[in-house]
Amino acid sequence: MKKLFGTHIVEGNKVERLLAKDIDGTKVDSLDDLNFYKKQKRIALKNCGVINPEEIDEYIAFDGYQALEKVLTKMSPNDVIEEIKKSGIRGRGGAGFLTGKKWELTKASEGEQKYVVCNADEGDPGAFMDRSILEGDPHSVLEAMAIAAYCIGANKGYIYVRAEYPIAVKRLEIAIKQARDYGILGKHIFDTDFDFDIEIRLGAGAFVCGEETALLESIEGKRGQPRVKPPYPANSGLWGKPTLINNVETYANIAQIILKGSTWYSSIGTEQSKGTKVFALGGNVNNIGLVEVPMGTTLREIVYDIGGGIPNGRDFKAAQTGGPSGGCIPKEHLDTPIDYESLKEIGSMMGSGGLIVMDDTKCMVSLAKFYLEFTVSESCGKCTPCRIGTKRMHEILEKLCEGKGSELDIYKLEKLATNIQKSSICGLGQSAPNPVISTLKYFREEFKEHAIDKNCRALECKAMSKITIHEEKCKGCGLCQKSCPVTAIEGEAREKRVINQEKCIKCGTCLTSCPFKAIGG
Amino acid sequence: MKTITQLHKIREEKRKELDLRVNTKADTREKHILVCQGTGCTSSKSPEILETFKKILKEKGINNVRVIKTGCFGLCAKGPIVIIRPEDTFYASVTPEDCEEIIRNTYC
Repeated sequence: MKKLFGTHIVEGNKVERLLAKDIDGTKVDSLDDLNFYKKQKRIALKNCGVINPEEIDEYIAFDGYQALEKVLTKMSPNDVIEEIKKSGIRGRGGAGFLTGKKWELTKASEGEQKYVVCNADEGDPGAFMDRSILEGDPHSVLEAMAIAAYCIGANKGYIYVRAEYPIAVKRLEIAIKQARDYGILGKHIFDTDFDFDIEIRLGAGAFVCGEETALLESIEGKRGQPRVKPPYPANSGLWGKPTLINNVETYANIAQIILKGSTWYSSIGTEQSKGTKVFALGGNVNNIGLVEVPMGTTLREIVYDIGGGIPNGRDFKAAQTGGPSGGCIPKEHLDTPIDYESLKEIGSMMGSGGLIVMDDTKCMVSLAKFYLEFTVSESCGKCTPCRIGTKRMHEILEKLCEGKGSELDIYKLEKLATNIQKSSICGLGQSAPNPVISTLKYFREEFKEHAIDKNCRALECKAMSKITIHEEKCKGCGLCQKSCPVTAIEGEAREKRVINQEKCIKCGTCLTSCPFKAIGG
Repeated sequence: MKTITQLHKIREEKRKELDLRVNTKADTREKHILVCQGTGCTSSKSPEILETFKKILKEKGINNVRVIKTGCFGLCAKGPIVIIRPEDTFYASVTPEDCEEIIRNTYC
């Protein structure tokens, strides 16, 4: 260290070894040169990574609270709602309801007291879009909530955020305090008659509380269980009063729409889905992280251009969007433009933005089982189809994965799936069978192999997988033998190797060690 | 409590001061070291990196380099991420031990 210090004081030099590398290994000087950022367009994440989220002045510097000032001093609530409607923005929580329409309905709803709520109960496994917005730019959510409150006639707002997001909660607390100190929250905001304040409510982490009516119950201090709809929150929400609920990401777009105009916003995206969408890209993909792309970007662009493709030279098998409520998108639909309609058409859904990429070592029956396991433990238990139905589905999937299933089980799964979809009270139950339905739609063969041939082609279901070395492809290099943790691979130097099935624990380490792809199921 | 005029003034002055965050050609002798403090990078010691930078700058008496805590840059796989503005240098997988070398190279 000392030696380096003595020889290296040069102006504006770069520490070569720490520079980020692109997937092809080329060193990249700056953020804009990374392929990861080239196809992205940042609106909701505009300030993330640019400003200090704990300094209100930095938010103000980049046009913060300018939209609120414009709305309060120059626009009527109807003007604002018209602008939001014209922008075409739809709810980013998953269902995709038109935001402007929701505001209009809540405004039209009769009531002395109204509320604005922010749904920050992000619960999909692998999703961290809302978390990052709250951690990186909390003021953008406060500003949009104030704008919404002005439009619908509310003076009180609640942010329902899960307690497992401690950094997000802390930054929100700081942001609310700073906004109050500046008079941006409180009485007579921007010298007008508009009063508005926000409180935080912590969620204990139940997935069902992301469902809007369960969330309202939870804010009221009751057990988080969904209400039967209608009435919708726009008419009867928090404590029975008209309530507007939007997701974090939806709010993060609002100030930009007001400042840059609905024409600008609606020029981004597709016919029916405007603007951008943030995705939490995860799973078997090189660039794991948070991406924001214009609606209509294809899955291929996200996985390969932005995500940098699949690691270890494996093949793309499917991507799961919408978490436990969504479905999988197989290889043949890689070129589907990502928007609300296209995803629905191919049996998935936008969801809140979790995007899990899977390579060919992933078993689709196990995938369905994983998501059902999640819904079983997260079902609130209020309605029978969801409480018991998901449990039964999970049991069938377990049977299939253990090689104890039959074709009849696939039939039962389908039957149960349709019944649960039709008869559950809330979105959680209605969408719980989606992972099963979509994997059955695209990977029925794999289900059949599990049920009839007792075979898992991805070798993930250990109970029935058998790993073998293909004699004709084996070159006798011995790399597999070295990689095996239980010395189950036998054979002398330069000879073809054989797996001792009794010793093999089916860990799959040898699969990736073989340079000739000679090992398989 | 701030008046509308005061808020406008803050916006104007602060925007000038922070121009180097978004403008690689910003006319300034100042540098900002942005350290991601999102959950991902935080879990791999980015708060320690932030503190180390501050300590080194103080020790060396460097006053034209500021260390800034920011939200997520997006490329979580390469965290902890440190970005130097205005030149926009992107450092990946930084450790607290790397801070001294980065400052030595950034220092002007």
